[in-house]
Amino acid sequence: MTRHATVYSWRAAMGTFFEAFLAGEDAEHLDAVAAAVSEEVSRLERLLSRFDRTSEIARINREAGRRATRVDAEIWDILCTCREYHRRTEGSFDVTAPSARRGGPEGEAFLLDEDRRTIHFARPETFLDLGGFGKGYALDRAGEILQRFRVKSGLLNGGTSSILAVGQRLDGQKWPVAIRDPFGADESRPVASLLLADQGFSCSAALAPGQAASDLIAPLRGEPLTEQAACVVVASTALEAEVLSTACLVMGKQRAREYIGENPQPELFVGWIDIADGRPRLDWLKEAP
Amino acid sequence: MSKPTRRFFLGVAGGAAVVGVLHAATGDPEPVRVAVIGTGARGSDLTRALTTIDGADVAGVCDDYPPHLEQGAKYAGAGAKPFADYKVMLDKLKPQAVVIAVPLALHYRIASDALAAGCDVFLEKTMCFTIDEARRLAKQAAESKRVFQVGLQRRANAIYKQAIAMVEAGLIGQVTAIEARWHRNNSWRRPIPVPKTDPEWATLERRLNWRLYRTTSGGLMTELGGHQLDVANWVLGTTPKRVIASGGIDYWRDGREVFDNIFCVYEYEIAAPSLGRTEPSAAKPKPYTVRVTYSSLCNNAYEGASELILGTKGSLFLTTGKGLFFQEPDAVKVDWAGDKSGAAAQAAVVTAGKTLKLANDPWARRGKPTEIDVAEGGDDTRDELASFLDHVRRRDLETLVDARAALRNAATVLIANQAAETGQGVEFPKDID
Repeated sequence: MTRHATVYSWRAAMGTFFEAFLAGEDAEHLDAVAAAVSEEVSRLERLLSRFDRTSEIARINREAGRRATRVDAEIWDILCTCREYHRRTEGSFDVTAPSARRGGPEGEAFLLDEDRRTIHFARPETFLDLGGFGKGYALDRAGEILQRFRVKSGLLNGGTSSILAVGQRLDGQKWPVAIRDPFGADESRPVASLLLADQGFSCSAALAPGQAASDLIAPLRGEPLTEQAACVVVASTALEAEVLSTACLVMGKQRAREYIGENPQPELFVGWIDIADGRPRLDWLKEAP
Repeated sequence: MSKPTRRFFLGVAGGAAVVGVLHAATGDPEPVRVAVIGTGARGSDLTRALTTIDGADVAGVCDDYPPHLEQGAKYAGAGAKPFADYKVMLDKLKPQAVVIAVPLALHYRIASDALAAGCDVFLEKTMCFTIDEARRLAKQAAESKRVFQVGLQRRANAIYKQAIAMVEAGLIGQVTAIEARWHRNNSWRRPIPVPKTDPEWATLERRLNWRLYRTTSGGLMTELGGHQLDVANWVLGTTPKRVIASGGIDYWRDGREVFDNIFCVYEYEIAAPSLGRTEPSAAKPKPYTVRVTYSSLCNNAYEGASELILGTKGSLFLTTGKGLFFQEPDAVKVDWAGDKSGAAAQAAVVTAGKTLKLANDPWARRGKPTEIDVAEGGDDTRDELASFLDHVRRRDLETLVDARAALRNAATVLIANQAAETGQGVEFPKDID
C-alpha cells in the first residue's frame, strides 16, 4: 500500500498570505517543494511589489518616466503579457490604471522597445501596479515548481482571492472551494461552492466591507468603481483567472456578458455576484463550470 | 548631542551615484563583456540583475547542470552563449569579467582559473572553502591587478552605509557589543527532481543540496553568517582576535552533515580611539574588547536576519530592508522626584503606579526608534554589481569588498566552524590583517 503524506505551508507576501497544501508520498520531499514554492513567492514579491523600494518594479517606476529603462527577461515577458491583456480586454485590464489621468489614458501608457528590451512611460507620472496580476502570476509559477518536482496534487491559495488547483486530491476527488460573501454580510454561509481540478480561480470585489471607494480604477473613465459587485472567474491558469476577474469587474456585468460571448473560450467561466433580495447571489454569465 | 534630523540623515547618506566611464558616441556606459559561471538560484538572480544594468553585456552563461544552464540562458537573453564547461567558456568567449556563483568548494579553483585567464572577477560569498585557499586567492588577485570583488551586498546597501556613517558620527556612542543572527524556519533543503528510488537521486542530492554536506559547504557560517560578520568587521573596523562556538545537528536529522544551529561569541580587540569612542577622561585610551555574538537556526524564524549594534548612547537594529536607531532613553522622571510636596508625591506613586508599569515592560529601556531614512539605493545585489562593473571600467582595484576584505571575512566565519567542531577557542590567523 502506498503511504500518503501531506504538507501545509504558509507565508506572508504581497500584502496578503500564500498557502500551499501539497499531497504525495514523501513528506520530506513535499516539505522541500513547499519551501521552494515559498521562496519563489518571496522572490516574486521582491521583483513585483511597487511598495518595496528595492523591487524591480519600484526601480522601473522611478526611472521609466524619465528615460527608456532596461528590464530583465522575466519582467519583459510580464510587461508584454500585460500589454496583451490590455488589448484583449479592450483596455479594461490596465497595470497603469492607478496612475491614469482622470478621463483615461490616451494611447499607449508605456512604450516597449523589443530590440533594446526597454520600457519608457508615455508620461512622467505614469507608474506600474501589478497588484491585479502578481498573485495569479505567482500561483502559476508555484504550479510549475510542483510540476517540475513531480507533485501531482496540491492546492495553492493566494490571499483567499486567488487559487490554483493542481491535479486532484489523493482520494480522486476535485478540490472543493467555497466562495464567501465578498461583501462581508454573512461569513457563515458560502455564496457558492465549486470543485476545481487543474484550474485557476479568482474573485475580484469592487468594494470590500466598509470601503467607500474601490481601489480598482476603471481605466477608461479614470475613476474608482463605486458599485457593490464581485466577479469570479475559473480558467485554465491562475493568471488568466486573476486578470479576467479584474477586467470583467471593471467592464460591468452587461459588458462582461457580451465580452465573454464575443470571445468564447471553452475553459473559461465567468460569474457575477450581486445582491438580490438582500442576499449575495452568484450568477454564471454563460454557463457554470 | 543634538537629536538626529531628517536633514542630518540626508546629509551623511552615502551616495549610490556611480560615476562611470561613458561611451563617447552614445553617452551610455562603456560596455563590459561579462560571463556568469553557475546559474542556480543565486547565479540566475545575478544574471537577471546584470541584464538591467546599462553597459553590462552578458555574453555567456555556464553551468554543468542542464536545468540550471537553461534557466540562466533564459535570463541572460539570446545574446549570451551557453556553456557546460567554464574552462571552454573562458577560452572561447574571453570575457572581460566573470560573475561566479558556484558551490563553495569550487570557489577557489574557478576564481583562480578566471584570474589566470585575465578576467576581472566578481565572486559570490564566502570567498573560499578554506582559509588557506582564501590566502592564495587574495595573493593571486593582488598580483594579477585584476578587479576583484566578493558578493557581500550589505556594503552596497544604502541602509548599512547610512548606519556606518551614524556610528562614525558618534550617534550611538562607543560601540560595546554586537548581536547578530540569521534565524529561519525551514529545512534549507532543495527538492530533487527524481524520486529517492531513482539511481540518479544520490548524485542529484549532493549536487543540488551541496549546502548540506561538509565536502562542499561550510554550512550556516559560510552561507549566511558571512553577511553579518562582514557587518561586524565593517562597524568595528577590524577583525576578531578569537572565537568560541558551539553547533550541532539537533533538529533536521535528515542525513545532512552541516550544523542546523550554531552559536558563536567573537572577541574583537579595539585599539582606542576608535569608532564612536568618547573618552571619559583625558587619560591615555586603552584598548578594549567588544564581543560579537552570532547565531543561526533552521527551526525558528522569530528573530529573522538582523544585526543589533549596541553603543553607550544608542542602538542600531539593521536589516537589508529596514534600519532603526534607538537612542538610549533619558533617565525616567518619576513623579515623587519633582517639586511636589511629600504627601502629593507619595499619592502619585500609589495611584499612578508608573514604576510598576515600567518595570513590567520588558522593552522599557528601548526608547523610541527613528527609522533610517534612505533617499537613494535600490536592490543591493544590483547595486553591488553596478559598482563592480564601474570599477572594471575605471580599472579601480578598490572595490566594495576587495580580496583583502574578503579574506578577512572568510577567515572570520571559518574560524567559528573550527571552534564549533573542536570545542576549543580559535585565534584569528595572525598573518591576516
